Amino acid sequence: MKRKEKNFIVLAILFTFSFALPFNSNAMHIMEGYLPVGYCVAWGLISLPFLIAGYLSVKKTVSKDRRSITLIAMSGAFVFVLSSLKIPSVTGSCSHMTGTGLAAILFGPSAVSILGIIVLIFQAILLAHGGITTLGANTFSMAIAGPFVSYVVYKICKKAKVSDNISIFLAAFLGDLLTYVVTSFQLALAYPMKQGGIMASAGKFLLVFAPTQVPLAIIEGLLTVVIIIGLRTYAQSELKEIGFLDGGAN
Amino acid sequence: MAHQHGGYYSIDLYAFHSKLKSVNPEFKLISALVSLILTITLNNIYVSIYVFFTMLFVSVVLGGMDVKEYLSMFIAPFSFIVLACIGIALGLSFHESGEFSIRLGSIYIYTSQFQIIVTMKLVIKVFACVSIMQSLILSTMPYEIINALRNMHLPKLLVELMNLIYRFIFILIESYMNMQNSAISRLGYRNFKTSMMSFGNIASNILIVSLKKANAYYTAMEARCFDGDLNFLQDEKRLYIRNILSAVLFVLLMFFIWIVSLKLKFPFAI
Repeated sequence: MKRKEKNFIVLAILFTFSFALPFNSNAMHIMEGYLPVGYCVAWGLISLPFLIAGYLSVKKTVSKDRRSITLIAMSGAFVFVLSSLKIPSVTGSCSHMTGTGLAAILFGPSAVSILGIIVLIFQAILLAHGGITTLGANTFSMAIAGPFVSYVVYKICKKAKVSDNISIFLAAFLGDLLTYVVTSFQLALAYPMKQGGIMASAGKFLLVFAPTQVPLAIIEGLLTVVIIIGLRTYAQSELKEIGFLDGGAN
Repeated sequence: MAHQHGGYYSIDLYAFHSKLKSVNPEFKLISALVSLILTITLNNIYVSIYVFFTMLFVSVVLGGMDVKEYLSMFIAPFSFIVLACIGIALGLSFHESGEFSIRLGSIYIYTSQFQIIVTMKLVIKVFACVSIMQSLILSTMPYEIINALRNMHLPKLLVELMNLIYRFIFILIESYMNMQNSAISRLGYRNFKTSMMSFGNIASNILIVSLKKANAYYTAMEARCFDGDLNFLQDEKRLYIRNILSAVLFVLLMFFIWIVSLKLKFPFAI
């Protein structure tokens, strides 16, 4: 192949990538049918213990106080709505928050796993994001791993007396980033490279999704800070009320 | 374009206009799940193509949906498919490899016929699976799916939460739309920084509003004799023999195509 031809192809690839940017860059929902059956089942099984723990904790909260059921449901609806709203973006792309970092800080990671799986089911049946067969994998990356990291980061920052806004930013940012990393690894496990295996494949997926996911994580972190500042200013009493949702940080 | 809740995208309202809405929802849910699992396990390009076109037939001809609208449903998964397929079709390496490669600095981007075939099969399978889910969603109301899950003995608390969340979603979206409109009319989305502030403030305001509403809803429910059990009226939708027969025929044809394509060694069948 001539040098000129190669240059042409490189240009064509760059051109295609620049088109991929303004796409609807949602949080990385693995599409229906993308994972082989074994992986669907395996991720479901991995998520199961966390979901059972979440279910029991929500059940305990509800049986202690029946009134909290509408509160939990509202929190779930809030996470769904937050994740379906178009957020401001620099590239003009249509992107969405995951909302899981915020939810983990507000409601605690165990409640979020249950709210998360319900939100993911609704995203699959109302917005065609994600799917039923990939529910296990998506639940693990978005409703378990991400929120858990957000929560832990938030707690550590609190212990280390980092300023509030920075710790909230870090929690949401790292939680989002981890969701993206976990999803990349989920894809890589299902589709390893012939040469280089899973790690090479994971690196590739990380690279491909980085242009949409890394800016998204930063924006999500900033927005979460703005949202919490708003809540602190106007909703002290309500924040106390969510505090009784098990594990709530505030 | 799909149905809009004031600029907000949701596909649930199609189900209310579908000609298939009178079919028994449990039957629809179970047959969708069975065909979904089969499409993934058989992992055969001809089965996937058959499934895709059958589902197009089900939604468009039997369900009475506009073809253009139906196809526009596939835009949502498109960006993920494109990016994830680039990830499978192309490889990165420090030395020349694969059947076709180009050099970018010291890195080679390469691909091979095998990788391209794998990617192609995957894309078709994803489209087939998405179309199965679409044909379920486009003919079944979400609350019917939730009820079907209840009849399949999902924990009561989960079903209750799903019912409540589904209803609350639309209330919150309406409050969001109102707040966003008033923010836009006050130049709240003038540039990136103000849009960040407006979006964040609106989002926190929604949470405050929703928490206030949650209490009001509980009171309203209690005033209507809520004692820890949410009961919804369910339409009785009979399951006809012809429904079951057509589903069985559909599944048998899937196996038939699978076996034929393997026996006759069609290209890309394995």
